[in-house]
Amino acid sequence: MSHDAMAGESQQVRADEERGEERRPQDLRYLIATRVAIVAGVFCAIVFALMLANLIRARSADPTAPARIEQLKAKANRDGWTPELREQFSTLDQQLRREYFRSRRFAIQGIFMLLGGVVVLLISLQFAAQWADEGPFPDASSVEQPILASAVNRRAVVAMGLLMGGLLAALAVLARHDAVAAYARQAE
Amino acid sequence: MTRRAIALAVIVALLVPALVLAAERFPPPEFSFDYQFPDVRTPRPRPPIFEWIDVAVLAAALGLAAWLALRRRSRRELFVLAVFGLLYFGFYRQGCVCAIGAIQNLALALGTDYVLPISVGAFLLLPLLFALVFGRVFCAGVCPLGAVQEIVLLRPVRVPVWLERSLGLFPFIYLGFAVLFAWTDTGFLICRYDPYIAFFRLGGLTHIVIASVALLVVAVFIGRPYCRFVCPLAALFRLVAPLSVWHVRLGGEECINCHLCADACPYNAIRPPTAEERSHPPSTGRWTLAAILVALPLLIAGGAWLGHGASDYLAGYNSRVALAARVYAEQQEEVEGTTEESEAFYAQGKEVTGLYQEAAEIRSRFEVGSAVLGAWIGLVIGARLVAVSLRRTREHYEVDPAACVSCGRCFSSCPIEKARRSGRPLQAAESTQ
Repeated sequence: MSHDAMAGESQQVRADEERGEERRPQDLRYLIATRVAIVAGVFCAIVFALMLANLIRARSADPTAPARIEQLKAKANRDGWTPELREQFSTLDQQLRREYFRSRRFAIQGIFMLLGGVVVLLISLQFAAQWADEGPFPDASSVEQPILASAVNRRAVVAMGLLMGGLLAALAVLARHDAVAAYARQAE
Repeated sequence: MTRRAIALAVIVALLVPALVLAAERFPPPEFSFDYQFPDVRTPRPRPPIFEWIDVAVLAAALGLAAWLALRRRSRRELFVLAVFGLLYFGFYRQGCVCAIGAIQNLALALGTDYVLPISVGAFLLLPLLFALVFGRVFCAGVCPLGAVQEIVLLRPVRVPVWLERSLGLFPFIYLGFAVLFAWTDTGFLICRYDPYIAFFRLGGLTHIVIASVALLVVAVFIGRPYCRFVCPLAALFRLVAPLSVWHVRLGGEECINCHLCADACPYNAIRPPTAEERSHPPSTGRWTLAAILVALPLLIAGGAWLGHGASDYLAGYNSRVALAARVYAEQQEEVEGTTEESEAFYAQGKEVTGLYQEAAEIRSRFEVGSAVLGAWIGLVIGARLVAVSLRRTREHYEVDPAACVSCGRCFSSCPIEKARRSGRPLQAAESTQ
């Protein structure tokens, strides 16, 4: 190795080291931003799951169609409104309203928690992207190999075509066992 | 904090409450009467003058987008316009009327006696005309769905070209299904499964809201997944935009092949130069291409045959056909009880034979439409196979007008562009070369 080449190499190493020292605090900021993003993402996922569970629970206990209320109404129409029945009706009404407002409060709290979580997630992702960015490098060697690319793309399209053909074939098979078809043939 | 982060926070603050409002769909408890108010999810009709105002805003926004993309070449200003599009066509107009959905209005008008409103026709025609002349400027600065995805794209991950090529078939197929369902007056698939309408209307069906959030999360990493792999209007743009007279171009003959533009584009819309393949003779691939061209009519015919076979199943999605089937089953005592729909039909006192006749007509339309749909799918697959088998040579990086959404990301990364703007010679570029 010539003297010039060795000098060049040591210069390169020194430059890399210097760059490494410059980048260290940037990396730390990047790490912090990504960690915050991960925590915010997990937080959002948990809040979202809880809200979803709340939604399913609220749907299953929809206060506009409670069977017990209907039963009590039917009983009242049959036997008349006795004080005992009124009491039962009132208790049940209160219970359902309580459940409704609990679910609503939970959902509204969830809004703000999710909103906060998503804002933190997006901002931390934005910062992570900003601090991770080392700048694009020119790359004059990047070229497309037409024959290879063509073959790979063709295979991918064939795979999708088979999938679509399979879908149509499945629909055609389903149509053979479809009640609609049976009715229509007879009706026609 | 950057301006973009602030804009993001504001947009998210507008978007996220939709989740919980969607969860709050059931009304407060009311036990005094049994009537349940219908759950209205579509915007109320407005006076016709407002429709024309919308058309004027669309035309102005398209013109501005074309000017910003092709003359000003400003990514920042395009972004601001996209935010305006999101606020106006998205949140203010609640995503209706929209150019994507207008495809179905046109199909419905072709298939039934529905009269296509001129304003709705304009919403479809104007973006297509602009795409024909200026490329996909509608996607860049006007479409609210594109704007949502553009805003949330923070960590772009490049999709492999082969995957893009195969998934890129889906918008054409979705377009076919949407047109079939609209043409037979079965439903507006595009509107029903619009992923961002729940945000714009601050509410929607639970499964759609969940899908919307999932797609939004995907859009943080994959650039515009809806536009690239679902949007039926984008499928039309892909056909029209390559014919455009003016569209986004970079470098040209001055291109120094630095790869920076392709690096900046998250949509695989910039094609790299091709290598000289000396190891393969020039005739390589010709036989494959010839075989595909021969197979193309077979693909179309096979698709038509399969599509025709599937028509009975697809017809079942039509509400009149489904009602006729239900009523028939009830008449034959194949099922127990009645449904709300069949009860409503009986209450009208109409003849059952009339319903059967109507359903039979719809079914015959489905037979034709499904066969055409199958042929369309075969054609799309065959045409894509031909497209990927054609060998093109490029000396420089070139913008693919079919895939380019004119977002302007590449402008700021291209050294030729920078040199042109500053009016100084490209010294750095010479050293790179």
